Amino acid sequence: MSSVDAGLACKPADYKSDIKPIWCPGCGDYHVLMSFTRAFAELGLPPEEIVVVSGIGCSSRIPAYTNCYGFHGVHGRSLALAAGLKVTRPELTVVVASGDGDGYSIGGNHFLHACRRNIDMTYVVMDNRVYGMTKGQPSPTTEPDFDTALSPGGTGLRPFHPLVIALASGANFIARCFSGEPNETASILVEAIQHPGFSFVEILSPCVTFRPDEKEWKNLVHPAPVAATSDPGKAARRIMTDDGFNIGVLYRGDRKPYAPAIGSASVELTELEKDFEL
Amino acid sequence: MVLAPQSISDCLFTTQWATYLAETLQSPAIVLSDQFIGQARAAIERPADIAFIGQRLKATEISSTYRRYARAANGISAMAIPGTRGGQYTADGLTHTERGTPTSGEADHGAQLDKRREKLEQFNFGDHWAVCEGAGDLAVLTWGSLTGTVREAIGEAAQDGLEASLLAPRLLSPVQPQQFAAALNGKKRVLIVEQSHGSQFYRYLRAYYDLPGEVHILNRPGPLPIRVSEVHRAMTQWS
Repeated sequence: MSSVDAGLACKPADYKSDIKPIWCPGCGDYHVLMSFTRAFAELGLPPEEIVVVSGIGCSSRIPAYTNCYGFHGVHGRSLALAAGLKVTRPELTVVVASGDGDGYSIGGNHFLHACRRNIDMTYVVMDNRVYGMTKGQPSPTTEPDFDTALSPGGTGLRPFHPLVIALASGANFIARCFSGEPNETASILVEAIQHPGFSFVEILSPCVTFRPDEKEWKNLVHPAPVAATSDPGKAARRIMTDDGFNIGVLYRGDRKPYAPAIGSASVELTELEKDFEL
Repeated sequence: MVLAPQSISDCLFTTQWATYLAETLQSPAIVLSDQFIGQARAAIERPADIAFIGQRLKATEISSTYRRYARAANGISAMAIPGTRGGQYTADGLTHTERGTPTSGEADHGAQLDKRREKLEQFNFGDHWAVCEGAGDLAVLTWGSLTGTVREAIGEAAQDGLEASLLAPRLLSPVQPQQFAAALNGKKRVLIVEQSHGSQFYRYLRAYYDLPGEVHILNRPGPLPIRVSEVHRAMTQWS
């Protein structure tokens, strides 16, 4: 990886590695990578003090494409790994990247409890409503009538609603972005990283290979018509009733992040012995 | 690495050793408990002070040629930890190059596999890999919580005039063929005692080690533990 000169402000390119992404041409994740690097540059964070953690899937390739420390880990377990890292190294900026399959299906349980724990990190899910890497199976956010050879007649299942679940589970910051608007996405990522606690950013990121219909998303997305709220009740109503294409910050909570003291816990042997007295 | 403690008190020692090995060798270590250890309570002697302090090889001064997974003579390459300027890399679950870059190249794949194997093969695990006690031409092999049962059975057999040795590996993987062969050198009979239905331990040993002489197996699945009297009977009523 390239090194950045100390004392100089970093440019977005300084956060990119020299590894060429292998995403399909037209994949929305290219723009997400661009938003990452712009956000990091705007925040002025040294690359070595950022860690990008991911699981498995197309979106989870992103750590190697940055010039930050990265961990391309186990399917669905990125949040658990990132939580351990942030708790032990709170001075680092921890950004977790995932997709709708990795994050909502295989890692669904970790998602709930990461929101609940409210550790100060940012969770970015690139949602394309399909398992792209494994060639087009329906994911938790796929529409029930997604009719393909792999899902004849569609699944008939109600899609997962990640923003509502994040809100109900305790996420402290919730936003929706569109990969085709990298500047706006970068601005929201900046805010998400700066916001204390667990920030959840869902990025609609089209899979042009297995969901060519998602090219139409650029015509469907629109700015959220109302400002973000800190009232979970209002946020729930808005998120539940919007059309799924509202872009912007939808909820800003004020819960105190979970940040246990490191190295302060000690138990004397005599205290333990009391538990085992016969 | 796979390790197995041999008693409740040994859980602490084995876990300390496993942590030391994991840090030193930059490899995951799994500590296997078993049903008996997991569900038993015991009053034990106060543990000794920690015997091992794992030393992770860290890259503190990064040069432009730094490669996180560089081949090294002992297989262990220095790890840059987050916050170290210029040491950025991605720890990748995919096949990767010395720099951590994902690759599908055969040469990189082979090189990294060799690296992982070499560091385990070259490391001196010392005497903690197994408990080796006693003498005689009969060796009783076991692992985990059955170690105590077998030790007691060997003690009872000694009172009957039958001398036997105990070999109980604490380190199940990686295998230690030279140490194993030395421990069984000259043995004419081998009794394997294990709490399993399919003789899994016996089959594992056969896959990696040469078992000398005549081999008997005493095995049974849980939940009923194998008793001292059963091991004693298997030792003394050899046919």
